[in-house]
Amino acid sequence: MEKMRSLWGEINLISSIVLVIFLVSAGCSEDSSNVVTDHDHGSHDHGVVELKGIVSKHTTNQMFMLKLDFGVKLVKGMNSFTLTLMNHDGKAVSGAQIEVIPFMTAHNHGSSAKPVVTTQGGEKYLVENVVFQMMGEWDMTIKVSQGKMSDELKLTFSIK
Amino acid sequence: MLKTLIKPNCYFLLFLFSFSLVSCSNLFTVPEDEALEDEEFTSAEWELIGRLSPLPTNPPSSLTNRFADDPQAAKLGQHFFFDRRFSKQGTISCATCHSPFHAFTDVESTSLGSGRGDRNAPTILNSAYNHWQYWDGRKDSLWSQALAPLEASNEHNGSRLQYAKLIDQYYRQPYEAIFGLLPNLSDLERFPPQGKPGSKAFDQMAKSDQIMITRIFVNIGKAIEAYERKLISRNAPFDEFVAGNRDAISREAKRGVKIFIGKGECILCHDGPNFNDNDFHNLGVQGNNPQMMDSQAKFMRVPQHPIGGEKRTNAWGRFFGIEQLLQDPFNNDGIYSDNTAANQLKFLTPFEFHLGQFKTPTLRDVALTAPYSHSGRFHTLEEVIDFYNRGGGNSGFMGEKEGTIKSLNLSQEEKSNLIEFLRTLTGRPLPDELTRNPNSF
Repeated sequence: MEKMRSLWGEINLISSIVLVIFLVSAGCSEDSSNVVTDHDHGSHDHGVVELKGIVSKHTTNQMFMLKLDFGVKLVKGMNSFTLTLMNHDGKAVSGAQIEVIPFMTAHNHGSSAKPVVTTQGGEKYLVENVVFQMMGEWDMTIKVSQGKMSDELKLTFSIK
Repeated sequence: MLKTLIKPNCYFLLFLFSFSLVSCSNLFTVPEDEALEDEEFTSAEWELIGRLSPLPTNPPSSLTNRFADDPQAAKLGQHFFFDRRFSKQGTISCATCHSPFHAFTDVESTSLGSGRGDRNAPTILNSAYNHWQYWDGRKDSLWSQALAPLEASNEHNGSRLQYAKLIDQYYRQPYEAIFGLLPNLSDLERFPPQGKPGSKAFDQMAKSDQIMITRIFVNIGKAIEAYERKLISRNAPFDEFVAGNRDAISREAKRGVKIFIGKGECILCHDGPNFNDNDFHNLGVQGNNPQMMDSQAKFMRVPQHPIGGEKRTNAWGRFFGIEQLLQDPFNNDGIYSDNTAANQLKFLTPFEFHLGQFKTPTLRDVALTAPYSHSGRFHTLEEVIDFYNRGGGNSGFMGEKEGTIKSLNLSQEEKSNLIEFLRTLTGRPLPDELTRNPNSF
């Protein structure tokens, strides 16, 4: 019995260490609050997930709201997606300058191609030639500017 | 006993712990403490291994060549491939540098045709699975690639007029059965014996005759592609292993597989069943005599570009490859393409990050295709692995070395295991009838 009590104490100690390590290591993961879908409405998912379906997200300084339709999901290789741009009040924003920059932070390199953004009329934009040449964790920064306002959104996700 | 004492909350913490470690690591980094699905690999490792085999039964369709899968065209292309008359002196064929005795490459660092080339001859095996051809991707189809050496001064050094007449004299019947009637080429004033763009004889011809001759030339390339699409390396021991025969490869090779998909990070670029990502990377590999392409660069009408004023050399890699492809009359969007609807080049623009990038080669049959790299600098697989292990090169290349390339800290045993694995990628030999000049049609 004495032996079992001692063993249980060790297990609790291990549990505490594990908890501390978890809390510390959780800081390593990207803040995936960037990855928000219409279905989780701002809930925080602390894994790096794939980007799929429709994702709505404010830019960092809340100047713009982006609605991004990734279709089935972003994949290794060539991708395209649509972007609907609104201001913080939800009003359509047309004629904006938009730049999309994929980057693999862990490897310190960008994409092997340069994304091309074209206007589709009104608040609709088409983003093509988005290439993720290898699997792993990617960032994609979407820079938006219109008139004097400019802001950006950074998404972090995995490509399989 | 221990198991019964660990309460559920401990399991939960352990789960969180392992989850947090995964979230810190790269996607392909397989947790070493994950339970093995079988005696050798975890389920995460099997998922990665499954990306590498089997090779799809057929290569991707060649949309711009409507003869690509025509058996008659393949047979004719095989004749062309081995026929040394397709050269100025009658001494060079495609098989000179892409020999079936050396897995459709040669044993030279850079090939010797009519002159010494400036890049290593890649294998033709499985090239039908590539989106881009040449180390710098300056061709976007196999048929278009096949044309360039035929007229290059340091390769076959012939001309399209010469080849059209060769077809007329020796291949008229099989050619016409596939491509339709040949024009009458007997008028030597209208169709001189030799000539290609840039030569007086060709440039003085009527525009319509130039196009007529060029179409015959293009059909030579399309027939050669039809043949090359049959040169597929498959059913390697590694494929048998993935298919279920766990004894198909050695224990050392299996350890090599683990390194390939894990610590070595090789799978980042050598991904998919042809072990390449159809993309381009800068590893810091030193080039060979970068001045050699200067003579060619002089003739390029390079578009205006921030670095457009500078002379191109072979060290420019993908950057120069894109420039050449966009101006190539034989590209997939050109008038000789059988399908321009795809508009495949619309986004292709050279950017500074393309400088010094070269194509990821297939690793199938890699044990048979030494020397390695675009400049043929590495004579053995050991040299290649050592290069990667020390984090690539540091000088003698253009552009910026990619961040992916870093020291791997592989031990001698790990390097040996990795090479053992690479040796398991040698496919079954091709049928004999595909590896020699056919005697008849």
